[in-house]
Amino acid sequence: MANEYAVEMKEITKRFGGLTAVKDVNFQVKPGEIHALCGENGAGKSTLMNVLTGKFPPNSGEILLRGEKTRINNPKDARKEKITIVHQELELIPDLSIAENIFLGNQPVTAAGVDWKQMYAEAEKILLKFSLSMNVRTKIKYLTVGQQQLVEIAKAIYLGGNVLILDEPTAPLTGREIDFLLDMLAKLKETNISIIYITHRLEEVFRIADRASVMRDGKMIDTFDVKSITVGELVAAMVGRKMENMYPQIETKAGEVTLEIEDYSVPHSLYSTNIVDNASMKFHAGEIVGISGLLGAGRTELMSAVIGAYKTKGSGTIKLNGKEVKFGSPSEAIRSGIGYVTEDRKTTGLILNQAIRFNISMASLSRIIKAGILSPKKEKEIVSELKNSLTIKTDNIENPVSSLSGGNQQKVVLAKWLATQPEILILDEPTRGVDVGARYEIYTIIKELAKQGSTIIMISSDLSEIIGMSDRVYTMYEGRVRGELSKKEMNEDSIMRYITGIA
Amino acid sequence: MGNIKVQNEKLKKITDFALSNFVIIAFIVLFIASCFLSPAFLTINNIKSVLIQNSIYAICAIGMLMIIITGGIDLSTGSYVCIIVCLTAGLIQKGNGILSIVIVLLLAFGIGAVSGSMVACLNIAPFIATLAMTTILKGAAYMYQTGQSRRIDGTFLPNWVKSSTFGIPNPVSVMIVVFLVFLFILNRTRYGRSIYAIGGNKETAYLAGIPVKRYLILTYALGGLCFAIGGVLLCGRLGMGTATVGDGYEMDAIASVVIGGASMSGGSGSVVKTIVGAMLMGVLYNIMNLMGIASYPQMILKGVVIVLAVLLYKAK
Repeated sequence: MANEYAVEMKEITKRFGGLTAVKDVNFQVKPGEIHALCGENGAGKSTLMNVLTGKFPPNSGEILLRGEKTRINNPKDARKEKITIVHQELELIPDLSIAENIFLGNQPVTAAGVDWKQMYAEAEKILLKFSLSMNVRTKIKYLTVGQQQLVEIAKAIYLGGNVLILDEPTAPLTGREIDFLLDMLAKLKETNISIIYITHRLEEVFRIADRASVMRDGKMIDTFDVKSITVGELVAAMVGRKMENMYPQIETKAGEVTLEIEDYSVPHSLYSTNIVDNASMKFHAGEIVGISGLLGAGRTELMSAVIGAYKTKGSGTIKLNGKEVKFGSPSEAIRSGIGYVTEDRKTTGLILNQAIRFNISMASLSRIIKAGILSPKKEKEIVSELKNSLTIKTDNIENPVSSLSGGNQQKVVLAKWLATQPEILILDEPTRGVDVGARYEIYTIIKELAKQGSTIIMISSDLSEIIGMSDRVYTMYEGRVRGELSKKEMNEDSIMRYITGIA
Repeated sequence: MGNIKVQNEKLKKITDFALSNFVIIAFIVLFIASCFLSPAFLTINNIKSVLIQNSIYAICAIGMLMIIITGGIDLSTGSYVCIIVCLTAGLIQKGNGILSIVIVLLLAFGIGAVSGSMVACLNIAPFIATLAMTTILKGAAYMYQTGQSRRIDGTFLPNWVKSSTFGIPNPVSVMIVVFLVFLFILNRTRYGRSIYAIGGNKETAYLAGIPVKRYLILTYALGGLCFAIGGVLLCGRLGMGTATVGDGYEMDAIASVVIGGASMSGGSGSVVKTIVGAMLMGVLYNIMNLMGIASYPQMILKGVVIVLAVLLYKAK
């Protein structure tokens, strides 16, 4: 029998203690195909891939590589079979250069030690293949998360292999970087390598994948030929029910102007240029305003400088309800009723090993303190109420946040800010790494907030999210506000023109 | 099947509980074992002397705990104790009476604030900042002490430290008060809650409106205050000022905190378990002394206990 499949996983079951993470899963990948693996958080995708890469040997089932039964009991076996995985969490060493990271443990040597010249030259060649123009001597810590991700993928491709697994590679990337990556993968496919592509972004599935497998609750639901299905069908398979709409239909009405930013500039933290240049924006009560732009366009920098959280201090005028204000630190902004949901919940939104209760009450301690004494009863009340209204899935608010899935972790971050009862809520990438079902719930919460009269400012790289949620959108390009689009003017094409600097 | 699963879950809960509270269980086991190992152990006099001896260590450990919760460390504990012993004796000699104690406590609070500022504002690693403070304080203590006789026998401090109130030795009462105060601070105040957040993730804490710098400075200051309370008690016990005391206090304090389950990377730790950790070490020493084990093997055993404790917490 010819080996139709490069990888064949048969009846794989993996249990952790009493919990079955993956049950009787069959999964096949052909050589030279991009195979998307979809499913909500906790569906078992990562576990299945960890079985394939030897991190978690399965309790039962077998793995066939090119038709031959192969035992993969540890990561070393996987490496021998040239199965490479690029994890969501980056595994680069921040204090080493790009070149050193690519060649880590594998440096070209001469009799005198590491052959630096050759290493740098080779590294440059690898990056060039990827059309990346970076100095290979740059330390990893000076790169943006997006650039780091591309370096990591370049490294994986350089190491080569028969099977390349990418776990949500585009999560930290925007616009052009995503295009880069997807083009690269399409080219790579022609070398007959098998690519397994885990993602939450369905449009990417339709753009590059040949086939897509959907997992739910630890089981393999189905494998589709991407050409023959619709987005709706794919989503329905993922969530197990039909999703009529990606975005909740809740009417909101704009009221008075609440926050006004005029001629606001923020200096760059390293260079003498401005990362935000003369930005002016206006926000109304009861309105959801999107801020769209590519990575490095200055969206996050603008908003974090406004609330006093950015490395450098901005200049310009900020008016809150008509009065000029200046925030020296986030605590001042919080006292004035501004909440800020940061883009990376793991490093700036949560304290992962602390209890859910602890995290939710962190920014609103003043509400649960009377005469300097903290009231555990009042705290529990507030936290439980938010837990219920945001449907955070946990049986105990004393569990650590790290025990929750990505979507529920994001809800905890939201709950933390809702507990401060903000008039203005700034959301930076509110649904990054959040599965489809939880996304809808988060969108509903945001819409409800706006309906109750809060001002919502939503920074997002996801164009469909911007269009689906915003009443109005500001577009930014290289630190400047390029345009303002009303609901009617908004579409992917018009926004893309502004954020790429064409319009 | 279902029954087994429920049982398994129960078992898991019990092991989890045992592992996170093992210092308390270990203490109880050691205590009971000690009663059988030596008839001299469970006597009022012996228990009193264990408590008195270890009250100073326990108070220092509480100060260290606060700092470790923020993800920091203070290596200058021993030097604080040393300089406070000298200064207290010196000030009492000069006839300042009870005011001497107020002065040294305020001074230690201020020194702590300096260490804290180095860490919070100048971004010096806590290890380095407090290492510098260690030699500064030690040097200052020697300069102050050289050529002086600082005996204060018969003054109010040694007399008070050596007496009891309601049958409880005064140093033990001080320890209990410090314990209760910090128990309250850590669990029921905004500051206490916030230092756990700072130790867990500084950036997240700052963005949640917590005044990270101010609280860091306050923490090192409170640490200094605890070490100074320990120093004052030691001065009273010794009945004199000398610059040869205090060595190794930081290590004992760190050991108690670690045995009490706090993580050196910050964000966790409990006052109750830290006190029990300090007492566990104290009882261990005591029973070994009573059984006639020499002091060098004792040191080895102490090291083994620390490693075992950390391994058990890791198993959780």
